[in-house]
Amino acid sequence: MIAAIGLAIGITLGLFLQPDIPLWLQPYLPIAIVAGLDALFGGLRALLDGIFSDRVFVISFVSNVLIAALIVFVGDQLGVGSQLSTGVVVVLTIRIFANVAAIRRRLFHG
Amino acid sequence: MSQDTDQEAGTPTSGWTRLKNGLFNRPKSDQWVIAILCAGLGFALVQQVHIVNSDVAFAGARPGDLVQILDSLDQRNQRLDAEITTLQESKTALESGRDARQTAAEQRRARANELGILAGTIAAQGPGVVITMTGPVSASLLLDTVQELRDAGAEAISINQVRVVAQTAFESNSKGQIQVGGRVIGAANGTVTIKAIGDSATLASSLQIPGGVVDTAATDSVKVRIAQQKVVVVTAVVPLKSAG
Repeated sequence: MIAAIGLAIGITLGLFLQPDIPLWLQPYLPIAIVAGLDALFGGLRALLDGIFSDRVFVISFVSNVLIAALIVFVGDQLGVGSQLSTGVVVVLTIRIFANVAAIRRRLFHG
Repeated sequence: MSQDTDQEAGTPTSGWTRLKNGLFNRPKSDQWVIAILCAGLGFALVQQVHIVNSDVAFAGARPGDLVQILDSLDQRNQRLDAEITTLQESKTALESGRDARQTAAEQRRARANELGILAGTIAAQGPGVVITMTGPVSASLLLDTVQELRDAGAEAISINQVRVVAQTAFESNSKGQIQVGGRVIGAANGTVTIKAIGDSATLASSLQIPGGVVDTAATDSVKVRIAQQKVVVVTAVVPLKSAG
């Protein structure tokens, strides 16, 4: 519940406030968002599995975002930034699909 | 299979129940971190969508991507430049082709005019001489005169309103009259007026050379008067005959 409220507040804030995203952050923002979405779906799956834990969720969320950003950063330093971002997005998307599939199984297949 | 018969791993609650619990149970006080994280996620999501949709899309691009975009734009530019050059070349070619056609048409018109004058089918106008012969003019004198004028570059010649062309015959008939091109041009003692178009000085001097037309005429007691004129109009024409 509180997560949904937070999401709604964030989206509303984003719609009304439009701060300038610092230039150095902009390449990492899309990756970080996908990582955050992955963590979110992972948390939902854990909730439905009955093993949800606040601490695990927070840690997985933060680490997901940080590691995704780190990988892209390292990729940029190595000159393969765009390829690595693509790789990160592919992996995270696969995880999101897997999580959604698990959620679906929980909800509809007993 | 029913949604409510969740007996998996001995847990009595189904996914739906847990979802309901998660959504509607009063949140624990230490879940504010989750709210903040989710708020941050939503915020970032909206911002990113905003960036992508805005005009400053390039602001978020990597230097490498920017170089690539610039490269592709450069290549596109070069392609378009090459296309412009090709199109301009073909435009020039088409224009010069039109010019060439126009020139050819003009040349044909001029040639037709020239041939018409030479064939005597159209009237001619230009500088020339008017020769008046008084006395017993003979056919041979007229022929000599015409040949002399032709040699001097006369383009159109008429004798008493009869156009002289390549086929024109000069003859004396049984009554002593002179026929030019089959037409009687007056009595043997009459006045003959010859109009010739060409360079008037050249034409006049060609007749006056020693032993030339004027001298010959004098021996025949024919008086010759040569008038150089800036504009001589030869209106006599040869009627067009259909070929064959």
